[in-house]
Amino acid sequence: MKHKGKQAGERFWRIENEILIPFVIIGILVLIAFGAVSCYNSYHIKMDYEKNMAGQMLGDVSRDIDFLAERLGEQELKELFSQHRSAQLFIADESGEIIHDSGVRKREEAQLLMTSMDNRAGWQVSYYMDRGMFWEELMEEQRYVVIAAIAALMVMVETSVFISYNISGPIRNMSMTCAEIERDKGEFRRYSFKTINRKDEIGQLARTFQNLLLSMENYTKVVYTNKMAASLAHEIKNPIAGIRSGIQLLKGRVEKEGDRMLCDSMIKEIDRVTGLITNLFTLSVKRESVRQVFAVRLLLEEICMLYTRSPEGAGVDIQFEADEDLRCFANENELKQISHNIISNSLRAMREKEEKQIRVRAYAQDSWCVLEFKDNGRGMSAEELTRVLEPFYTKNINGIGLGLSIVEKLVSQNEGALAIESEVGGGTTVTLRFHRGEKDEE
Amino acid sequence: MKNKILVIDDEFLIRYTLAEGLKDRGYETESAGSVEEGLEKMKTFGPEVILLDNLLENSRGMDEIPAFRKLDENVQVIMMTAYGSVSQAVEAIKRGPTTTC
Repeated sequence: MKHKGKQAGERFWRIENEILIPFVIIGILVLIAFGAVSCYNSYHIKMDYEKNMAGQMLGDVSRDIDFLAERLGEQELKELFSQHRSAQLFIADESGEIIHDSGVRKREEAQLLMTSMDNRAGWQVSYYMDRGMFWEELMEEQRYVVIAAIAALMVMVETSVFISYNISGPIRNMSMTCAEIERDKGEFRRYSFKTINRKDEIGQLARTFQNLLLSMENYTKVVYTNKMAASLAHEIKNPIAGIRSGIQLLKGRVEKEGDRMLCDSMIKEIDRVTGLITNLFTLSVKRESVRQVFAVRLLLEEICMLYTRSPEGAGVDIQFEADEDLRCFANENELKQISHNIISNSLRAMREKEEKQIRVRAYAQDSWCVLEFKDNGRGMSAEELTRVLEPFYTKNINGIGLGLSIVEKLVSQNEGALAIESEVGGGTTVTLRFHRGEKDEE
Repeated sequence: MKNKILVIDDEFLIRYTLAEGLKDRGYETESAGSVEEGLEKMKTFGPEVILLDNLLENSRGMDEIPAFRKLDENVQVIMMTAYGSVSQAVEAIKRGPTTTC
């Protein structure tokens, strides 16, 4: 448990560290470099200023010596200069006797800046600088630079903390959700990401992820169905066909009416299972449809007639409307199956309605042949509508939820397009588009 | 004379139902679970039509057609298969059975 906590902690900090630490390090380095350049510059400016001062003072003193040497005696001159008030000067005569010493020379931090013997008396005049004072003054001048640098560093750290949290927070949230999904497997629909409403790239990532999760649900179901169906279809179909024909044989031999009815109902159930397996097989096997140009009107006529005459279609007002010469480029049998699946869904949706109505309309639109199936059934909510093509999604207790998945598969196999519009209580319209015959395209 | 049909399928359920169902409809039938048994029965029973499953335990029914034709060149063979594909049907017809279903 403790170990787990440590791991979570490590994961928790990783992104912040990866953004924050380099940011702060670079910031500090830049500031240090900036400070160093600034100090170096002001040191040189100040030093130049000091040297200037020294040159000026030595010049002044030398001129004074020259001037006074002509008018005063040596002793008088020495006395006069021994009282010089400059704190930086040191004056000695040719023999090395000290004339004036401000005391600066003896200090530890004193530095000889300039010396001159260019005077008539031949004295050595030196200018000393107090380094301690020099640096103190320099630092005083640099004080504002240092304050500005510290302020800049703080702003930078704050900004990088803000940025890194703003980025790492949502990413961490997503990564934890993903880890959870991985542990759980399946049921992707119930997960959602908090950052889905953000308008930036992270929001976009979250939205993409969310959509991916939704389609994952379909995808895993389809993959699973495919594997299962492909490997089991034959294995199940064969014995079931045997059982069916066995029951058929027995039905011909039994004498009681009840027994015959029992056989009939067994055969009906077997047919239902076989239908399901056939549907699964249709969904799972990849194949290319063999397409040809055919008249849509004939096909719709046949289908509508079938429903009008069958007990399933009893009490349903089913009508169709199609252009006489409308051609469609598709696999006719598959289009029949598509139509049957859509109509049987419609019939189920209208079960509780008193007036049951199905309208099928076929018309040409640009290079497309459009088929429209419209019912006045109970309709679907927006949530149902998003899931309606998902395999095994059904609201019907007796249904298995493959009808529209098969429609979608067959439509795309025929390079067509499928659109479903529905509203609760307002019926459902399924619109299919297929290419028209090559002749029409020309 | 009764029409004689020999049913060859390795699955008892199919073999029995087919043979019995055809019997109920007035045909004279015999059944066999393998090609060898089928060839034996052919000699004694002398069928006019053979219902032959394509996927037998040890062999493909399609490959055995010549063996039956050798015993009676007029015998009609109907191939049966659950794996209905066009290419298989074409191949079977080329080898000479009457029909595939």
